[in-house]
Amino acid sequence: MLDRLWKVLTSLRLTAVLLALSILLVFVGTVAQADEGLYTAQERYFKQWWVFGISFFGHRLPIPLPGGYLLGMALLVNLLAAHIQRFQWTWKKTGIHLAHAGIILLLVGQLVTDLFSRETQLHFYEGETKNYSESGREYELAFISDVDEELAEVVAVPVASLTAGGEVRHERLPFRVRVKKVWRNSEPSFRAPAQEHGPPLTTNGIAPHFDFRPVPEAKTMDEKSIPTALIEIVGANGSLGDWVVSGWAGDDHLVSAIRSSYGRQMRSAQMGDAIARRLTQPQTVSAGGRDYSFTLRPVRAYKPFSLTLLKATHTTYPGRPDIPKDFRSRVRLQNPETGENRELEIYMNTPLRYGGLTFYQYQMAAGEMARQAGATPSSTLQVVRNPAWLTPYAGCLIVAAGLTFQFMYHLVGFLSQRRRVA
Amino acid sequence: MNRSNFVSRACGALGLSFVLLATGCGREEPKVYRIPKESAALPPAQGLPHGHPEINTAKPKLSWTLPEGWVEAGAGQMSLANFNLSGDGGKQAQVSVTPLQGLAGKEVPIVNMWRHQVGLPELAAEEVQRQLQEVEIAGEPGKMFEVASPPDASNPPMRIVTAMVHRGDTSWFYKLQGDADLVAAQKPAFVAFLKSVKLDASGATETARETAATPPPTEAAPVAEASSKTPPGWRSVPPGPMQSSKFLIPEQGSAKGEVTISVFPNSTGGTLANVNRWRGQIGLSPIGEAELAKMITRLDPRNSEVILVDMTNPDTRRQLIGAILPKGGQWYFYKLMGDAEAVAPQKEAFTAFVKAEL
Repeated sequence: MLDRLWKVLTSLRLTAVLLALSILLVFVGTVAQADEGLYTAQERYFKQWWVFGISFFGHRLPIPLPGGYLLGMALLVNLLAAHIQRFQWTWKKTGIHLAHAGIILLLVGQLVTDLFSRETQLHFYEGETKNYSESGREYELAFISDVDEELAEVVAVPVASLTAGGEVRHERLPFRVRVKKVWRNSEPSFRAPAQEHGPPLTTNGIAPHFDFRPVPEAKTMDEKSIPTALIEIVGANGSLGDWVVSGWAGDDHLVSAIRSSYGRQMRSAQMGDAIARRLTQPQTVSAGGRDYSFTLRPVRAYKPFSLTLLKATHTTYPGRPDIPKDFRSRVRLQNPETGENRELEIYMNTPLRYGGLTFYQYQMAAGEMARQAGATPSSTLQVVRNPAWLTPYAGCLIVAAGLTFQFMYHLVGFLSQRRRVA
Repeated sequence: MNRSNFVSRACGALGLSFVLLATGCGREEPKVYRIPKESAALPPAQGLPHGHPEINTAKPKLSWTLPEGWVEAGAGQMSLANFNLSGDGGKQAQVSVTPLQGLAGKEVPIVNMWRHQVGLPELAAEEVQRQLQEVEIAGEPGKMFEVASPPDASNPPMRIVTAMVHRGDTSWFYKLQGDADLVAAQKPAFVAFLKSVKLDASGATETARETAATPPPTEAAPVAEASSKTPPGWRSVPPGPMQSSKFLIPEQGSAKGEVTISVFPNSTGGTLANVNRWRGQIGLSPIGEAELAKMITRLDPRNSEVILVDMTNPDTRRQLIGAILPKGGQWYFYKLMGDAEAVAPQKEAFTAFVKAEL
């Protein structure tokens, strides 16, 4: 039985089937992006072991397919097994072994990248210091309580794990969180004092001032889904009330957009401020002798060091104020653990590599346009953590070395044979 | 190690890897960590995500004397002020005031851009210079030029008068455009308007208007604030969120009341919705259109939407007198609310206060 399995695992036929299925999956997954959106399609087709039901040009077909993880892993197993089966240490096969080792490294590296790499963004205004970056798409429900005069404890629950009707319990929280509704994407509207409304989602916190409604999830790269949830917090002695938590209230980018938008609509910056303050008013419950504030915000990744944006520079080509020439952030890096305190510049093709992270210059609101608009210059850095970032380089080098060796070996053999014949 | 032994070990290791990967490496688990306390502050009013700059944040302060017949139309995306002009036979024209960066010394392409807009051919630099006239703008020498559309049977004739002045690296454009006859007739008023403009570029966020000699009836009203119009005894206090003004009225013993004014860009649901919302605030049940018609008082014979309602809850003795005043594209909501003993004596003053804004 085991021998039979081994025979299948080492067969070239399996390789051919897996490659054919991979081509099919890539095709189906690419077509499905039109119906399901880029990120959903990536998650459902490539970051899964199995795909149950596919979208095909607007039709939902009940066809199961092996997912990206399964095909990648099966190809890796097939390659390894074939290697073990046929491995012979001879000079003649050294190149082949090297090329295969390179491919294995590429496959493993891609898997590690997919599982462990993380891209976040660090957005800051000139003069602002930040010791965390934020996810561009994922949100978390964060419960924050003071530990002492200086420290606060955060319990951050990924929004992806919230389901309507579900419940969240955590040993560090003296209450349970019942999830009554959760919308993966939502839109807010201000409950203007005299506007015709139905009843608010709840009478606590921000809900009397803002309505939220579900909308279809974002499908394109330049959109993002903003989740909202209706939760009930249940303490030891019963309910502590229903509350609305929304990414619209916990995401600084969105709050500033709402502030500007309403300020413009009402032709009053003060009105915009007043509405934004209502949206960001703290929501708090007391339980177990402590106060817990909670907010639904982009997932944060804290660092043991901080960056301060000293100067954001956005230069354009002479006479073409619409074409950027250079985005450049002058930042101060401070690390209390190592005592580092230095200034440096981050700009295109010159990222900061520090603490296992790479900070790339990503976006910028500075320069003439920002100055004209009276906006505070700001910069956004793309923060990438990828423990396997070297594997594609190493894998390709090994494959190239293996193929070169194999070619040279045969070339030398062929030439010496010809010389012998001559 | 024999081969089957090796195979079973390899399969075991791979199986374990599968299990670890299938569990997703704990990505969806809650995280707990400690951080230095953070202060919650509003982020600066910046543009939409991805760094789109906002145009309408801090702007220089602009004031002017409004020519007769001009109607303010507020600020636009790029412009600091806009005005609508109407003439006989439905003729329309607009005036806009727009600051733009980096255009000093570029009169030739600017003039040709405007010429292009009305379908005229471009002019050579010398000819452009000849067409520029001297004009006084906000106390500084500026340039003015005109373009008129060529005769075209399909479109009414159009004329654009543009005045510009460069201050530092900002160029201020004052543009009068619209029906050719109306623009020609309004040109003297436009030139007078240019002279009357006062500019304070210190960064204040609001525009202000000096009162014209005889304001036209449709002119946009500023939000009422403590002024000579404020009834005696009313005390101006800082307004709350969503309010533009707030006053405390004289107390009658322990009875208190207040006046609040809010302004919105639309009718926020209509009269009935507003009145029912107000009724709810003093504990009264909602009413229908028929009952509403009986209880409203119309304050302006020219505009049936300007109304006043007076409601009292007999059980709690809470009284609310509300007025709705649509004006200049905005809706002003006036509310006098409090204990009936304090509110009732102020009804006359409140009504006069609202009417003063008509």
